[in-house]
Amino acid sequence: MSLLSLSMAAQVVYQCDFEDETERAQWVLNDGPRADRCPNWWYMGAAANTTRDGAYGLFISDDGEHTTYKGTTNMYAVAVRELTLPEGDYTLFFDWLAKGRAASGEGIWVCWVPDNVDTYTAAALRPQWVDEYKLDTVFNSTSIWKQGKITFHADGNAHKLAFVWTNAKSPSVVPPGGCVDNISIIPVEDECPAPTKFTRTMNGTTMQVSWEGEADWYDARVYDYEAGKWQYFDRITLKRINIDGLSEGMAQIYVRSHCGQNGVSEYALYTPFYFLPGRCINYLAIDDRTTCTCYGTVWNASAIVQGPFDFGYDSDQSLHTLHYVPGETDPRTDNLLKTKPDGALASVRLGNWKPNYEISYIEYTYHVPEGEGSILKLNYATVLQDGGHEEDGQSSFTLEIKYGSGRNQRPLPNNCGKAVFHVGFGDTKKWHQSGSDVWWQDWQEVAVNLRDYAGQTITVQLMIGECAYGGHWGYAYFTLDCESAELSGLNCGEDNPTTSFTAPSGFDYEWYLPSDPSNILSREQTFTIDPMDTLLYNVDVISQANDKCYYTLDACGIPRFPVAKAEYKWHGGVNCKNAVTFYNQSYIYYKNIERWNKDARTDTVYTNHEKIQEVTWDFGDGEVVVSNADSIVHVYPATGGSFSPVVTASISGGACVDSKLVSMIELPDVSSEEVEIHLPKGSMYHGKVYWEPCEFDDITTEGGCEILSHVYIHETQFTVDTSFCEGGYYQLGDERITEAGTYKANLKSVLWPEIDSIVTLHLDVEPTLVVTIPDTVAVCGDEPAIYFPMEVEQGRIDSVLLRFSQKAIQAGFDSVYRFGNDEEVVITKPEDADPGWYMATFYPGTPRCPAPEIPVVIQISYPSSIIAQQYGIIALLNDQYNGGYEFSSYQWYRNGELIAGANESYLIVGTNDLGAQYTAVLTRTSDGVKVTACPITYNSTQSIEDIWSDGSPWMLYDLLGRVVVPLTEQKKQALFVTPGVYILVRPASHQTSRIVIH
Amino acid sequence: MKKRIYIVLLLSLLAGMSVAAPHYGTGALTHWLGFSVVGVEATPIMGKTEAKAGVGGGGQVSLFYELHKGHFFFNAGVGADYLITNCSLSRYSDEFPRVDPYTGQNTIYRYIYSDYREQQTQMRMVVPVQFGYRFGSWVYIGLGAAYRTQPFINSTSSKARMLTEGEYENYIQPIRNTEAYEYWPEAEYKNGGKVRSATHEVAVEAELGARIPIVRGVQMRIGAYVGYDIPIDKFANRAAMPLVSYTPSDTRAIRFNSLFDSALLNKDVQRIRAGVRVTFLFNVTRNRQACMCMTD
Repeated sequence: MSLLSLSMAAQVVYQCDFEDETERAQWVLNDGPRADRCPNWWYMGAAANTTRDGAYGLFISDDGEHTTYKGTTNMYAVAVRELTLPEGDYTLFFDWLAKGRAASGEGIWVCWVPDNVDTYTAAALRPQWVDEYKLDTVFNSTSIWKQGKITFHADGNAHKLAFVWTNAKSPSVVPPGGCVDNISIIPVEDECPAPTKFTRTMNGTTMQVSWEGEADWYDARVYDYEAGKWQYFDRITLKRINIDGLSEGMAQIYVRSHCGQNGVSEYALYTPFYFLPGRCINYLAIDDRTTCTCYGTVWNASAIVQGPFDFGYDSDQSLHTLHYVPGETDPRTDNLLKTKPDGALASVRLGNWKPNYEISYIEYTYHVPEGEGSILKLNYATVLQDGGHEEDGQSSFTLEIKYGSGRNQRPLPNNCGKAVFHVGFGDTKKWHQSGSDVWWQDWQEVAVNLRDYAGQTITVQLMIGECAYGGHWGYAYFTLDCESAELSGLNCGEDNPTTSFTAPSGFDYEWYLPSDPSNILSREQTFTIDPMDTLLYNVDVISQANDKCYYTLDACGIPRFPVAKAEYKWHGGVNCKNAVTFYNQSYIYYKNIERWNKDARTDTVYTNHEKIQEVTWDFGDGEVVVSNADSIVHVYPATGGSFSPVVTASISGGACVDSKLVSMIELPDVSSEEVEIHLPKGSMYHGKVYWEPCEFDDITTEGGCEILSHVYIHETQFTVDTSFCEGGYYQLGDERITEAGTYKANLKSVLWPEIDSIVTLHLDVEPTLVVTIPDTVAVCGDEPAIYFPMEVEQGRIDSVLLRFSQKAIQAGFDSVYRFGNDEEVVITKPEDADPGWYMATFYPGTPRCPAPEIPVVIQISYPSSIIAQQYGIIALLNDQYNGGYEFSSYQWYRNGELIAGANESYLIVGTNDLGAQYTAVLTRTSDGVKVTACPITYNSTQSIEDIWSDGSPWMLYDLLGRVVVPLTEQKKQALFVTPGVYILVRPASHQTSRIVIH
Repeated sequence: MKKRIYIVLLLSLLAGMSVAAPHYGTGALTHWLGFSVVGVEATPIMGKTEAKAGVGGGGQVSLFYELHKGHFFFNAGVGADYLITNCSLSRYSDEFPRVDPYTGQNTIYRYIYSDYREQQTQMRMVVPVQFGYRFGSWVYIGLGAAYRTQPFINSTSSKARMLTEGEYENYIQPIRNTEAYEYWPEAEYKNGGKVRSATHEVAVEAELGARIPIVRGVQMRIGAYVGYDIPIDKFANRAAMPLVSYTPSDTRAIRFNSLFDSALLNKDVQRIRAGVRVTFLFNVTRNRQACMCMTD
């Protein structure tokens, strides 16, 4: 199936994608008595991807099997298809790719030739009939597919549509020389404006492509070169598409317009681009003027003009071109140099091997992100011709980074963003010689620290300057990438201590202790430490091009642990898609383990919230994705359902992982949309005018979303019952209504202004919803649930939504709780939620008239069970008995009033305190949070039986030491003594107790 | 063991020198009666304990008989030694397991003492011997030893601040300041008694000073003096008592024992002395002519 055959058949008068054998037979290729003298002919096939889609297309070759090419003589080859079109104006669309230099007329000529004109192929200069019947100028100078559009007039007589390939005797063409596919001819009157001004934005791995246009709807096609697959988007009314699942590599997008029933445009082609979702800088997008500008001196050494100049990567005319063929090597280095580094998709070649005082350069704009990607890494390989000149006169390759914009653009301080490589100079060990004068460097890496420019947009300029005397050439291959400026190689967990740190590559290094910076411990990229080492080290990461440029990193082997954390957001079912964005908030915490550090008295836990970039998303629908993006969009089934996505954060290559359920997600069925359309009688809908009231359903599709429209054709007078919220208004035509009542208005249809309608409007006002709820909801830590006492004072409530803060979610609360209008607002208290203060926002409301959101504080107190009491003592239980909490300070309260000086973990109380309520505000050691404990009532009294709990023999003395009761084992003994203080002694346990008898 | 060897060696050296001196001296042998007064500062050596030694002092008087021959002299006598020493301990605790009288919980009952200070006073009989050599007319050096009896005056007084607390398994902090549980508030406690471990001692001494003739036949020596007192373990009454004696049945009935007797030290406490010795010598030689050859 070809690209154009899908939906243009109704409008086109001729189309050909060369896939149909019968149609292929209609074409006459390379006809002529002396055609065999031509080294290159037109062929049909798909050699080396010379067709856009399918198995056939036209291409130029010297053997028909491969895209080889011979430029040994002047020649022209002709491919002809006879056509007879009704008289009229037509537009010819065709996809083409053609190398060749415009100045010498190399390339493809398209001609509309009367049937009686000979169109022979010959080894000669371009014939007269080409210039006489050509429809446009020559098509050439591109190595990527483009779409041609030519308007011409047909007189109703038989003609030949001819594609003529010409080449000069010494052509600059490299194979495949020319290709043609997907030809279509459309009457001009059936055209409508094609989309224009394409833009693309990235959201995680989803690419959104937008355009401008006035059409009723659009069709879009996306071709994924790497996967060799098409994606189709039909009948799109929005002027954008979201593309998921593109492979990393080249992609191309086509969009056409539909106007009314028959009008259709050509496919507007969005310039092919490299889709590099995981890369910080799309260095391969040399034709994307938004991020890249190419310049060069071409054919005129005195003028630098804007490019790119790309005649194919094999052409010595190309100054800016891409090398993407796996395994390709550079012939001028005796095929020892790979044209792209291992693992790279493609490289950019800057410059060529044609000496002519040429200078060529490329400028990229790069927005330096925070954190990740703040090290810019240039991989480059240079091939330069040695002129034997002094250093400044030699061919050179230069990297320079500037910040600021326009006139305020400045190089980085201390030239930290500049590196110059002259042929034969610098580190001579890196230069290799091929032949007598070609010097080349294998792939090298140089890195530039851009941490100080995070958040700014900088300019990265790469330049090839040929020899200053004009006689020697030079070019360079390069790739750009980014890297975190942080250390790698850190291990994790208690059982896998860090044994080495690895600094970002492409620099020089100096490792040392902060206390002794002059003692360099290592100059290697990787620094090895003892597994038990928790010392803090510093490493200076120093530019290889300029040792004045460096930055310093801290390195410490304290064990790390991952914490998985994520949030999500549902997109609302737009386009019948249950798209959900997940936001990665996973981070690392550190624990200085006591047994590892003799100076550490306890395990010390802390975090600087360093984000974990690599997480695994199990979306709960069977799909699992590993991503390093801050956010990722996942599309759940449009039929909705309940899903339990789990985020798993891992560090140190998966040595330590942590998983967490993001949330239980309930998604509605959005597989179709249902709307009501009210039209006055006499309206036209979808090409038909309705004069009688009726009702029917209309089904349309937008972006794959099926929309069921209930269409009502009314009398010109009709009634509408509706309402608006108190304090709001209802817009009736030009009138803004703020009160309830019945209104009439004479309205004009937006679509059909000539038709009037009398609308009777019964308007009601819904009162504002007034809900009260306490500012603070307190709950003791041992209570299983939290009850929110909400009262509806006015209005109608349909639902309640309770959304918790990030801290609360971290503590185990769900991000959102939903309640119906007749449900009590009660949530289960998370078992792991530490006592403390948690913020939530209360959203009571109706779909139409929601009340303002109400912030609520949930105070979880320590349970009263952490306070123990016994006679005379009220004391807090320690961490072994209170659930594991340790406290650093205490403040006691009696009946709600602060007790001055009572800041120990216990209180001494007396009989006067019986019945009083006691509580304490406690400062938690781990995080410093101050929270109160739920109070207890002091009610401990003593009795003889209390004292005599162990049943051992006892005796009673008075304060003078006289025996009042001799040694006895009686549990109960009547005492006939005077009130006073006595001493009860239990000799067996050496215990004494004072007894006050009243 | 090492200490005993040093003592034996020193005493042997003294004996040998006293026997050899008449043979090697170049002058006539003269006889003198002596009386000396010593004022000293004394510091116990506490070793590696938390206890700290304080500065003490005392004095010694002795009568002796001395022989001179040439530049050598030798004496032996008897006297009395009076010494006051001080020591302290910043913080200390004792504890015993106890069942809470009201709840039956197992607790630790703990005495916590702070600012413990002790002063000991001892007086002993002393038998000193000394052998010396005079350099030129004035400067002399003496090496000596002494034996000290068990003290016949032996007292010690101490004071400290003390509180008690109960440590419960389930509470965060120990409970204090509630008399219902006999957790007594902090107060000062004083005690007196004697050092039960005081025993016989030997000492080695060295002296450097000047000889000053006063009148014919009378001389005075003033010297700086250092000594090292070594208790004789064999006779020590090492009780290894707690610093504070208590009884669980009456938690307020406490008694301080001497730090020297306590298990905290569990060793003999040696002393370093330093002071000044003033000695008066009276020539009692029968043939006074013999001393004419001396070059005073």
